[in-house]
Amino acid sequence: MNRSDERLSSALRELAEGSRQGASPELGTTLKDAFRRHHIRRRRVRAARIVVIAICFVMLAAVPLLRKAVLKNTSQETAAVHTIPPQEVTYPTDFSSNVARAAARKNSPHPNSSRPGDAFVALPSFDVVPAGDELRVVRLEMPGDDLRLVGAPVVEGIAGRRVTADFVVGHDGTPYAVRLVRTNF
Amino acid sequence: MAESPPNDQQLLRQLARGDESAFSALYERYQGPLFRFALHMSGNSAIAEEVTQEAFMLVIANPTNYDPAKGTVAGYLFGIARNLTRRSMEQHHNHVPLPEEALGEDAANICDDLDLLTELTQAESIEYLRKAVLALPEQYREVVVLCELEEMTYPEAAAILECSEGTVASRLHRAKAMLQTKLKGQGCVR
Repeated sequence: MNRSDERLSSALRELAEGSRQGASPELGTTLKDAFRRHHIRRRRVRAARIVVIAICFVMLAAVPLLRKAVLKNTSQETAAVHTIPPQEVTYPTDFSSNVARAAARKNSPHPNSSRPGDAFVALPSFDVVPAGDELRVVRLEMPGDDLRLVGAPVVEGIAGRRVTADFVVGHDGTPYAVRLVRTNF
Repeated sequence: MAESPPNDQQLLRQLARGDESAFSALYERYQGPLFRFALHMSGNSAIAEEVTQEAFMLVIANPTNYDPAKGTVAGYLFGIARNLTRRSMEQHHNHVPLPEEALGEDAANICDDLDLLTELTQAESIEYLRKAVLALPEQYREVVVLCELEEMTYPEAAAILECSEGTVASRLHRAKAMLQTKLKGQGCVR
């Protein structure tokens, strides 16, 4: 290094030493505040993310449990349906609809006379109702023994008493079905 | 036994976790060099302040951007400062190709018939040298600022400037020659 170079380097060092050495103290304070704010915000965002993730996990965990509960309820309902006792009476297919309609018409003016669960019992000793036959429901009071003879489900205990019953009869008076009126016994 | 102070990478890791003392330590370590680099490159203390602020804001916002495989933390920070300074000077139209006349009469009066070393230690001559440095093309100014004003080694400067050590050496040699020519041209060097 020649003398001229040395002098230049020395002068450059002088220049470096004579220059302002650093940023203002206010900048340091500003940056430290910015750092603090940034990390407070970052922590909040991270906490929010954790909460969201936790909620997602809870929901994911809850879905199978909810599904299981729903399935359980459904099976209970199904089981409940299965435990309903079979109907005592099934109507012959060719007249059951007519009988049911007539029974429904007959039932409406006497809501207290029989329970909704009581059904007409088809009388097997008579022919099936011809198509187009007009049916009526006739209420009769007669001895329990007689009712049993025509096929009505009269239990032993009331066989000796007079029992009121509804009969589904055709236009010629042929009985097709009978229902005991419960208010009598 | 006293604990050795954490190195830059440790500070950056702690800073990323939100350790304010680590940020303070890193800031105290580098705010001066970064500020002076920007100041000597731009000749404007407002730009230097702005560059220092933006560089540290980037570190605050994205501390994980630093890749140890690519170099030192110092190199990373100076790289940021270098890019910010360049951008800021473009925005401020603050390229300072010092016109010859700007160095003209005042410098000639100061330096006339005077020995360079003797005279440049004086405040006015130092100011003249500062202007001469600012008048250098950017690539030569960078090596003068890093190697002469910040007293970095060639490898350190090469890492920041992303060039070879040989390039740094040749640029510095040429920059010094340019400075001497300017000074001789003004009659400051015999």
